[in-house]
Amino acid sequence: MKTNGLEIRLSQTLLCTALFCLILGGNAYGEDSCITCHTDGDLLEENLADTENKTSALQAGSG
Amino acid sequence: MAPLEPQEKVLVSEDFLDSVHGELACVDCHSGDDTADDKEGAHEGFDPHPSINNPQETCGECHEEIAETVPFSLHATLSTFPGYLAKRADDDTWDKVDHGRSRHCASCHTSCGGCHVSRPQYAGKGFVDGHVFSAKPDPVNQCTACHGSRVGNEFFGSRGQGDVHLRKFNMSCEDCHSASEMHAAAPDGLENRYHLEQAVNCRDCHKDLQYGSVRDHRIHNNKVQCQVCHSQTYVNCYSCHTGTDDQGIAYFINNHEFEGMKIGFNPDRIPGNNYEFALLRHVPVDLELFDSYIKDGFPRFDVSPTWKRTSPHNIQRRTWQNATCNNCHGQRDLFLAESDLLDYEKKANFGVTVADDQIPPKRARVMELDIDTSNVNPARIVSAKWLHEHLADESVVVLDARNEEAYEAEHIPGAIHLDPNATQGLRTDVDDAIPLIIEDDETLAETLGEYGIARDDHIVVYSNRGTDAGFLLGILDYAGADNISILDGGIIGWEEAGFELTEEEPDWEEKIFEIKSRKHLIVDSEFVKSNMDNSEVVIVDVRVMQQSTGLTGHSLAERPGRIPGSVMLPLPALYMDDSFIKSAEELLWVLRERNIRPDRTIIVTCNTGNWAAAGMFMLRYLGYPDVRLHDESWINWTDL
Repeated sequence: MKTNGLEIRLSQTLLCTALFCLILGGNAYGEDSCITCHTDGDLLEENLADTENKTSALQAGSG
Repeated sequence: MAPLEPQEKVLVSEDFLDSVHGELACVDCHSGDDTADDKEGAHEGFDPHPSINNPQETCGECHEEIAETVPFSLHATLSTFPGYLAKRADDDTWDKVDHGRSRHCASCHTSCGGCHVSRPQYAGKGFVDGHVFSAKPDPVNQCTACHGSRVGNEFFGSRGQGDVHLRKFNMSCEDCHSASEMHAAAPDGLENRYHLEQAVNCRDCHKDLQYGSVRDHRIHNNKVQCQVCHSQTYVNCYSCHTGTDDQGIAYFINNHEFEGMKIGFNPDRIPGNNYEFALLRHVPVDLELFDSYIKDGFPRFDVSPTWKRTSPHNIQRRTWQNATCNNCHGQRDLFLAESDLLDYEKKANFGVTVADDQIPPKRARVMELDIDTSNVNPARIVSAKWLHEHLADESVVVLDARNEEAYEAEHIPGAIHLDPNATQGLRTDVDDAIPLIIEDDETLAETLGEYGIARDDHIVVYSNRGTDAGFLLGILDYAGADNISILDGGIIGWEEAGFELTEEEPDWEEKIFEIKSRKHLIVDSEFVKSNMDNSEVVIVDVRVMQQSTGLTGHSLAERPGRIPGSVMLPLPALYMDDSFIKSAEELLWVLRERNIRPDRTIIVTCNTGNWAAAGMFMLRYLGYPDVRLHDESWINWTDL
């Protein structure tokens, strides 16, 4: 079967797109995503303060 | 459950990024702005709890059917709880009562995240495993993080022996409580969790018991709830009161808790649970529960009993009450009586109490248990009455083994404060070459003498939980003291007997403790290792089972786990949590059932030797002739 030039170019575009996605690993993260901070334990430790204890000192007994 | 550092709570792992859920963008579930370059910008519009706030649009994108029902599940809504409170309130009081409920009782609700990703909100939140989604909830960090004080303590052996489903079959919560039960939408007006169509029942696995080989099943079928025969003692709570402190934080206090067991008439007979008799647990609802919100909030208090049907999660095939028929039949104390009720709850519990003539009568012919108590040393336990009568005796030294705060608040008159967990000179330091083992003779003798103790004194020790007193008594026993006793019931029993307490610190003089240490009582890890396969030796691990099964570890141990071949018998099997000691017959029977026999060498082990020393004291009280303390215990074992 003969294929015309348009069909060839479309196939190539689709192939490149597929390869591009494969290279990126399929994740939806951009370069500046949440995981930049949330996978860096040292960074989190420097920037997160101890949260105030919200349990009353009067709390006693089994719940 | 160890608290998490702030960064641990939100640290995402590589394992999560490699997982199916990790292929989604964070903002797909959590919103926020993943293009921002600072924390503030990134967290603009951020939702930390998408499975609570928006389950259908987040989890429901893939888990459509589950997300439709979970928002209406019992875990999400706690819907049966307000039902009981509403029954006791009326139209005039309900709004205020419900407001109190929402501030104090409703914090335990959770959704998908709190069972599959993070610790629940009530337990302080934080990723269990770096944001990895687990189909099976974590029994320590999730299930019993909320269901801890009753279920968790009973299941793992913080009270009693723990549950055979864990010990023998390594079962966890989801092995009985299926996803269909957890995810099910609770119908409007559901009476309680037992009425949920998907609720688990023993007979789901244990089928056709009435046709099996166990005669007692045929006799008691449909008459007696399974747990009546197969549960151990459990906690009962009294008089919850709520309030708001001066910082505006809501709190509750239970005025009284005790470990016990009561059989009563089943207040909730439904198909599948239509037993005449059931185990009842006292719940802490009180007339004044929400008094800080509205006085007399429960004008219809009596409509519902305060002794409720319960299913303690501490099942054993053989228990003391099923050891022989007459351990249950004819036992007035085991059945809920009107005299067990407080004045304000007599009417509420009218239908569940068992009158004298309603107790199943003693059986004429029963199998004898043949328990030999002739070697029990009864002097090792003293009652509050005895101690009160002998408090002024010069030869009696009373030691309070609780922490400093508890001692300073009040203590038995004349009691010297000696907290074995905090006192220098009883055990080596945590930084020493072999940490937390009993000190050398010279140091130990000097320390005991400084606290006014001579070897020949009659030394009586008490605490809140008997285990701390037992620990100190184990050290004293090792040091050569012969006349040592634990106060039955501890300080709680002393108070219940009506005897006075004081804040006044006693004066005492230092003495010379002429130490005669019983070195044969202590064995090291090499000895234990060389006897692991010795059939004449039984190694008893007295830790709670979340540790002995390896679910959690000790902070000083290199890894979780237990000594191969050791028998798991949590120390609370021998010490009740309010310091009352069960009868010697019952304790000896429990040990025999677990094949911990007096004709063997018993080595008691734990994490640091603390509970092991308490276990040694109890076994020697019961007359076991050859008990050894693995003083190095697990934290040093893992160094081998």
